[in-house]
Amino acid sequence: MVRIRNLDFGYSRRVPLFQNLNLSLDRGHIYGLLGKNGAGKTTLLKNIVGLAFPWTGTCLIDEQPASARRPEVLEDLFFLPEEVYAPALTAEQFVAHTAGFYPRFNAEQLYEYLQELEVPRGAKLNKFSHGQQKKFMIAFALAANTGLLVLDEPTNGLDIPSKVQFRKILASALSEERCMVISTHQVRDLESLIDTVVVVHNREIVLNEEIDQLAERLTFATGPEAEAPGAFHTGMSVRGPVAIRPNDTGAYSRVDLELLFNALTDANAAKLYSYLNQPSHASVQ
Amino acid sequence: MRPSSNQTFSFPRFARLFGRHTAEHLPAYLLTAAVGLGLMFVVMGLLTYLQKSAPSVMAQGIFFMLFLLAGGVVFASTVFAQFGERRRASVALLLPASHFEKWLVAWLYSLPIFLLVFTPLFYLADVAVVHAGAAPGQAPEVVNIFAASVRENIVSVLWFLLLLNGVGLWGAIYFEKGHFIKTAFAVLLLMGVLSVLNHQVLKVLVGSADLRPAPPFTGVVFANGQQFYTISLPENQATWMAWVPVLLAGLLWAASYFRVTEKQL
Repeated sequence: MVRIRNLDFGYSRRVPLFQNLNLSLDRGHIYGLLGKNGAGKTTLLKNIVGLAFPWTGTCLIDEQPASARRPEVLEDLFFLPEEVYAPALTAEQFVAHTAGFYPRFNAEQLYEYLQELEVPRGAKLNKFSHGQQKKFMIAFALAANTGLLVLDEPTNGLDIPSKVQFRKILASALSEERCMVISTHQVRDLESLIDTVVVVHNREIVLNEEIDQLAERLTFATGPEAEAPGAFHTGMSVRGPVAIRPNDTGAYSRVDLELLFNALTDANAAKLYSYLNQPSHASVQ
Repeated sequence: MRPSSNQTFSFPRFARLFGRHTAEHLPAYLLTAAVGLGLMFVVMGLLTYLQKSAPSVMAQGIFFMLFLLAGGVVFASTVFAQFGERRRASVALLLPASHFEKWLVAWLYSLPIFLLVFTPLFYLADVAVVHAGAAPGQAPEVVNIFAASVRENIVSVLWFLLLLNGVGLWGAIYFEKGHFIKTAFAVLLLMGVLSVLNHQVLKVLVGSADLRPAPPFTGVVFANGQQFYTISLPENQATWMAWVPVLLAGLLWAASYFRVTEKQL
């Protein structure tokens, strides 16, 4: 659905943010876009949706350049920025004037989501708290049923029960026809939600891999097992020592996204990169 | 992706966009109209109070033109505000409508709708001031801007309004905030630079003669000894100069449209 080829981009010609970046995102997946502060997650999302234009290279949505912002592309795309804007309209007025732009918008779904997220109705949206505004826009974004849904830090500003509801609703909204991209720096918020993880670091995509594939190839060890030699990355958690090592036994290991992210953005990540970039049947030395 | 309608202009989509823009901005526009009405009433009322009689028809005509031009450029410089503020801009830019439809909504509000709202508001303030402020024995007389005697002046002002509208729209989309101030500054700077350059070029052309200031698109006046000379276009060609503001407005409208297509966050 989204094809980025050889993309170069930056806000200043002297300091490129991305160089020769390639990325493909397909329908039927929920992608988690992870990166440190300033790594360019939001910038990458803006390139994907056509709010920033590549210097060189292409960014296509269903084979159409995103930067052209053609109505037929925009009808199938919803981007929710980190800072949402809520106009001085009630939910009903907002729906009456905006839903018509999205051919597959489902009002029943919207009101179900609003109920689940405990968003009040009747009041003007600009009078809501920041969290309520965000929940309303999340519900609207999901009810628009667009093929591409891009959410930038959607859980920022949500309380804990709302985060739980958000994960539940998002998981239920995924279909084979939809591609969801969620950027976050709060890795734990997405752990049970995403099926593919994309990590942006040092101007490039250092990982674009399905969680199941990662679980097959890596072991996330804790306790004494973590202290054995041969680990790609070691660290400490409240549970004691933790480590990432190759999954030589084929036993299932739950992917610890936070640990993986720390390993990939560590200065000594070369060994892990090269392992993950090998074909999955190759053995590790 | 479903097969869609025309990607540049579709009337149902445009109507939807126009309706959404109206619903979202109507309270602010009504407030602006009320403030404009109040300002016109205060300014004309103050003059009436100071001169102790209602303004003459000519004074009313001048007020109409000044308010029209000032209000037109200020309002035009705000209609793209939604593309400036980042939170609002991502919504405005990604709403499923074409760039042309988005530009057209702003143009319609900034010019035809502005004119349709401004004219009755001016008359409301004018009639109130003229009738309330008429001196004893003074017959209240309200200016008729549609009269044949003032038509030529009104048309010239409308042409100039088109130019200011183009400037305002361009500034509204080019600058992210402080649209009016930055646009006014940019225009004054440009006019200053062009006038200086124009003067220098003309100085080369007329040699040592004493050249009078000559802004672009105007005739040249210079003195040589005690003699004054004027160089201007023949009358039949000078009428074409009236189209310069319209041509410039067209260029600025095109520039503002392309700026919408190139807008990034």
